[in-house]
Amino acid sequence: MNFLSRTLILIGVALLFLGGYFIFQRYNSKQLSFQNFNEYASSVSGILPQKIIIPSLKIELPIYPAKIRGNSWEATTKGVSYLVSSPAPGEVGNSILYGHNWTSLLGPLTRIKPGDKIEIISNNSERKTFVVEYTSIVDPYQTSVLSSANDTRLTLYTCAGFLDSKRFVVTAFIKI
Amino acid sequence: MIKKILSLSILLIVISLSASAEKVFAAEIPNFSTCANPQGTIKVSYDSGTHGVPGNSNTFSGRDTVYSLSEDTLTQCLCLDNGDGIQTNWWKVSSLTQDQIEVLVSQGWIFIPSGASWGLQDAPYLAQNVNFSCNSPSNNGGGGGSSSGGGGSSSGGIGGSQVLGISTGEVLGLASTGNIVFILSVIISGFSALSLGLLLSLKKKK
Repeated sequence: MNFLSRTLILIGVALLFLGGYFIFQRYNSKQLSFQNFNEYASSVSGILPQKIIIPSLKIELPIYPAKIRGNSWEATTKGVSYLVSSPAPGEVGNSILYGHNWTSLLGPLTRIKPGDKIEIISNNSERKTFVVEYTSIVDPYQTSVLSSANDTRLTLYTCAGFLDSKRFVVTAFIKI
Repeated sequence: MIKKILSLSILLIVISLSASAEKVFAAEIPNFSTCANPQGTIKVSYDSGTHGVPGNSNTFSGRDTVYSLSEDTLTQCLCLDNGDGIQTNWWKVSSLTQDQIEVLVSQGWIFIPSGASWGLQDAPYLAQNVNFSCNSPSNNGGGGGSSSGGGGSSSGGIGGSQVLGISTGEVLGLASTGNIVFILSVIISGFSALSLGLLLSLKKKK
């Protein structure tokens, strides 16, 4: 009995610590970051994306502008973050959007398939449609997915893997 | 008690020594870009054809592009007709010692004694396969964006038992913090186990 009670206490404490760590990690500002990412020149068009719609996943979320401060990537808990140092969606280059993997946010994103459509509505009411070309799982140090590009693409990602140690990345190209 | 501490200390010393021994042999792994946004210059590109994958005896049909990243590194992006993608990172390892190569092989790299049969230089290479998903050539008739190039078709060449890496869709939800219900379950289970353990302990004392 003594052994059983000690084991239960040990398991209980371990699970509480684990739960506490999950909560900390869930709101950790570094959770969605990539390591040593060099920002490139930003767009100055003034166009800002305001809403993202992924019909195949029934996702419809507001987009909020975000910046990188040191190693910390600003991330909204109310929708999807748009890295303002990247081009606006629809402009030439690699537009970067990201969000938490919460069920109410981009949790379902891992079910997206190449060929699915992503729609972005901007503050000028323009609607741009992108078609998913690639999905991949990368490590946070693999920043090449965020590198600038000569085409018009959208990179949308969320956290994945054991303790959010990976990034699930969707690469979509504008539908002409 | 002292014996236990002593054995634990010895175990820790052995573990740390073996870890540092591995570091001595460790080689710095170069950076490889991903097929979603490949860097470097296109070495060869085929819109269709049959291709091989190192470490896998099967042949695969699809679109294949090889990017030269540096003098010693290449990335091969193979998008199969069924939408599965296989990225193969090629690393020329002429300068590595046998011990370093063995450490990397134990980490999942595949040793290719000569790259000649894969359309590369006649030098030893290490190859690593990573899975991704792509818009299959049959869906869109070619690659999207700047990643496509060249044309024509191929059979064999760059680009045969297991494909390594993480398949899209695997391990994605494992202990990730996205699901609050899962996190609450862990906390409630912990609280329950702790309460039960304390109750049993109190009963025993009585």
